Amino acid sequence: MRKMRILKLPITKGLPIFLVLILSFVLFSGCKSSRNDTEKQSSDIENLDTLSTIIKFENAIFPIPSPWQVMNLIKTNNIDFIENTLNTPDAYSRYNTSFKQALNLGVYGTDMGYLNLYEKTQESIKFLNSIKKLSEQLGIDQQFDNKFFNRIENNINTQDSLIRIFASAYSDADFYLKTNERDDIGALIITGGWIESLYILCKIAIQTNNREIINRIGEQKHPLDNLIDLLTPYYYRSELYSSLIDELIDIAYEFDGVIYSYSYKDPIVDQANKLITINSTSRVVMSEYHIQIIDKKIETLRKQIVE
Amino acid sequence: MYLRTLFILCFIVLGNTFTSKGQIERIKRSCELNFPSEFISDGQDYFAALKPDQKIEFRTTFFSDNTYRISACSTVKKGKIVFSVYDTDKNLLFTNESFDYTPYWNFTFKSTVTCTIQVDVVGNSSFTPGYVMLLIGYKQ
Repeated sequence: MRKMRILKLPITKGLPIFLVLILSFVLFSGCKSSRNDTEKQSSDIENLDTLSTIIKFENAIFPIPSPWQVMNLIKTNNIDFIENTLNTPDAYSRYNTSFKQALNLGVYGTDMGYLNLYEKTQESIKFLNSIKKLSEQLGIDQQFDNKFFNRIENNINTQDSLIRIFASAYSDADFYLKTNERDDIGALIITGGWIESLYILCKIAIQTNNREIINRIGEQKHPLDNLIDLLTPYYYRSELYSSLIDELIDIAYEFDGVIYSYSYKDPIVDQANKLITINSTSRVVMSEYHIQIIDKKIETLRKQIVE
Repeated sequence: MYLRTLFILCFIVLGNTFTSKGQIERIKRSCELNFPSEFISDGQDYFAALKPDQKIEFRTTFFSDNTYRISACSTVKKGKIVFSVYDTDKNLLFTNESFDYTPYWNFTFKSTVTCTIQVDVVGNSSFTPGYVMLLIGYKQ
């Protein structure tokens, strides 16, 4: 009945109602499709102005060190390549949910970095295909487009350039996801990359007992805390998220056993080169027990992700 | 008259929808200008809305024997962007306030240090809200 009355309105009266409807649609769809992470934070901040403890959390951002940088230490220590450590390139076809696809896009990115350290070009190409497929499934194939693959092809034997191209593509994907209200997917990609890098470091530590690698594992204590903080807003999104976060928290408990000491020393500034040298020192003490237990737990979690 | 108001309203709503995204894209391009190719991005872009009297905190770990570049940018027109780096004991390691509000600086870490980078806008009472972005990269 109401619908009939609207249709019977003369065009000059009906048009404003039509415009109001369009306006409402634009208003609501605009909010949904283009409201990004920062806008959401902004409105959250507005609502939480009197809650100082929450403000601190809302205003904090948790950068996670790049897995390629974490693994750079392997290169400087001349450690042999460990076979059967990486995910299988054709496993991507098993990942049917965006949750698993995102995590494994992170895993494959780290694996590419590891292969790249040893200039394993043939294997890398297989992993590239997996990255392409997963990025298509996640709708971020603009960041892993033909231009990206052409650049990879042209730099396949230049280790440093490859890492740079990868870092740039992952950064563009992260930006795209954050500005399109899909920051959860971005967080999962980062999580997958971090888990894989810790998994590889643990395998190397157990096999080589290399002190620098063991220390680097111990130094993951704070990045892991950041990672948990990064994922926490999605805890109640689904059981998949809560289970992943619970397992990371469980690993974080083990990291509490790692002794980390820090002492401040005055930094030195080189103003001409816009450089500051931070001379403060830190020390990590990690027992054999903690390496074993963290390795075991990260292996279990990683298995759930890649299987 | 009524129609004109509605058209203006439509224009404003549509404009706002796209402006925020455009602002963040512009800020990224501007930040990247201070990020030469010798620095490799950590694969993430950090940005947040900044309002008057509020600071944004970025907590991250810098690994030993590495050189990093931090580049900070903002869409805030009135006021200068300040970024300060503190260690876990709240010692101030660096602030660009001491160096004429330079938008970037390089950091060499002798040991692995977890830091808090605080970003703020200062210098103008008529501060207008905007976005801040931080890019972190390491030297290969």
